[in-house]
Amino acid sequence: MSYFYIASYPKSGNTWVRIFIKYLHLIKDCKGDFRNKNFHIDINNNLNTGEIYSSRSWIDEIIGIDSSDLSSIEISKLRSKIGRKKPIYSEKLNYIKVHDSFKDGNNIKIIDSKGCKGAVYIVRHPYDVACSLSNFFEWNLDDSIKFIIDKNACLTRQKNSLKYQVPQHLGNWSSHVESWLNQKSLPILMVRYEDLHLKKLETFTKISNFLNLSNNSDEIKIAINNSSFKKLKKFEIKNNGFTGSVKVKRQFFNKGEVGVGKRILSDSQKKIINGYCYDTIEKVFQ
Amino acid sequence: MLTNYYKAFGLIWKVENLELSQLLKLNNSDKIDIVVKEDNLLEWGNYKEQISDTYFYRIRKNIVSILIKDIGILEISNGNQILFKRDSLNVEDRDISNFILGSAIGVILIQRDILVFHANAMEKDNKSIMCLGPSGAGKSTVAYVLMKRGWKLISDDQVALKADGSVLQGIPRIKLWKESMDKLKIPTKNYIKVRKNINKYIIQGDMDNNFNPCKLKAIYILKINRNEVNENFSKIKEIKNEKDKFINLRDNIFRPRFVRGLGKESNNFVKLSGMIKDFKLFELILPNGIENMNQFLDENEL
Repeated sequence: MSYFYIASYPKSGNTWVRIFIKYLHLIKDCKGDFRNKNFHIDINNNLNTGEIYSSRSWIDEIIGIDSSDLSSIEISKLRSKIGRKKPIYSEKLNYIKVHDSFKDGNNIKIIDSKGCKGAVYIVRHPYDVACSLSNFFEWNLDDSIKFIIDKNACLTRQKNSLKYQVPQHLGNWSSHVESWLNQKSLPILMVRYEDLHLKKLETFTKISNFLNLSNNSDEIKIAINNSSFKKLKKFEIKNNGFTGSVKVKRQFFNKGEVGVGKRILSDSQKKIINGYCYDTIEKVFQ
Repeated sequence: MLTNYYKAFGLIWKVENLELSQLLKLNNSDKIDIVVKEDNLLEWGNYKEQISDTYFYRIRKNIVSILIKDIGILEISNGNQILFKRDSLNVEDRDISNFILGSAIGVILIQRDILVFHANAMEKDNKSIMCLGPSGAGKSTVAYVLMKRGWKLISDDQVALKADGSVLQGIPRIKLWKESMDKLKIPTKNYIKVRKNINKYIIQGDMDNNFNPCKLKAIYILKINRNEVNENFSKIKEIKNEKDKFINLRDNIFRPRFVRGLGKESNNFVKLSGMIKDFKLFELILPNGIENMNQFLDENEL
């Protein structure tokens, strides 16, 4: 089985990219002239681009035992052998969503590379990630910043919203980005979240090419248009939520604004982030 | 050598040098269906990987070998034998027994052509219900709340159905995270952890030597309540369409990759299709919080 990873730190555009991929698949599979069709996906029920890499039920199926009977370290040691096998009844495409760092805090490789064709890694400026985390988890900005700079940051099984998933080591924002960009096991396409907004056609075309999906700019434009933030937000309001948001009160698709952190964060808050992330910010956003 | 005898899923288990204390213990038995013992197992070596195999297990003919990193190996064969090997002397009995109960017993049942679900089953007034749902959906919490309301736990994790749709007494215990124990106000000091470093505890249900399998009345698929704004939100909806019923049940078969690898999938589907009309299937969203859950159960009979 060949597959790709769509990887990112949380709140960095992962779902957006997978919605684009889904639309592109619909367009490619469409019989007749795709320009005259109205494409619609219910993103709560048939996004179906692929499993999330931390899915407990998937891991349990592949390891043959119950992962909840294992410690976090024991689980970490197994995970780099999971991706290569698709769940048995899954009809999903092979674009696996990942929020894990490439290696965990103990330097154990988490990501399976066997059979993998590559990874799209989406990176978003940590100032904006801080604002988005704050909105999503209802944390104040200082707590979001603490999370972003925490070398042990983890999406854990203790949170109600993650019962279906095993703990995911993120590390701090910078180590997350570096872990993916510096690994040598997989071909990687790094895209900036900001470019998904500001250089839409160019950036989504790069993604489409990397995933061997389409070179046709009309197809890509229609997929971009269908997966616009405005449409996603409208869908979420109409359907009383997006299941990707699991159990939170606020909207998953908020404003998706670029540069909001620069405006909202105080100088001292920016300084704290820079203290931990400056080199990576320079490297990625120069 | 210490030999223990147990009864579970209508079968007699002879277990050498290991306690499976979560099963109904017998003093002795002339009839033995399954033997469980330690052996000097080797990894699978030259066995080539088949399509249903993964890095962690190999299935060949009627034998399943499971490699549990840093714990040991389990080899389950022909529906009548479980062999285990510890990785080191540091591996405790409860580590081994936990994975035997968690997976190896299920494989034995599959090898014996028994339909097994990843679920728990409860009984009251000679009628049983089964709760399905992915790991983490809250099946154990619901089971505990129902036990407190007079329901008897028949089996947890693996529920085996006879061809007539009745439920066999299996492993009558639930495993609860400390977080859930705290919410349910259960003092953890009175309970044993599933494994030394895992904050999950075993709550044993009653075991009955004279248990009569009882007919399944309804099946519930548990869904997480996503509605945080209204903690009291609940929903119970019958799934009537037979295809939807079938898919929902198929998706909750215990370790489906073992079923396929052992060549039992079509047999399972035939059984499932045969009994699908005999019970009702519901999607169930319970309200958050124990009090709300109890109030819901006061108002809605399962």
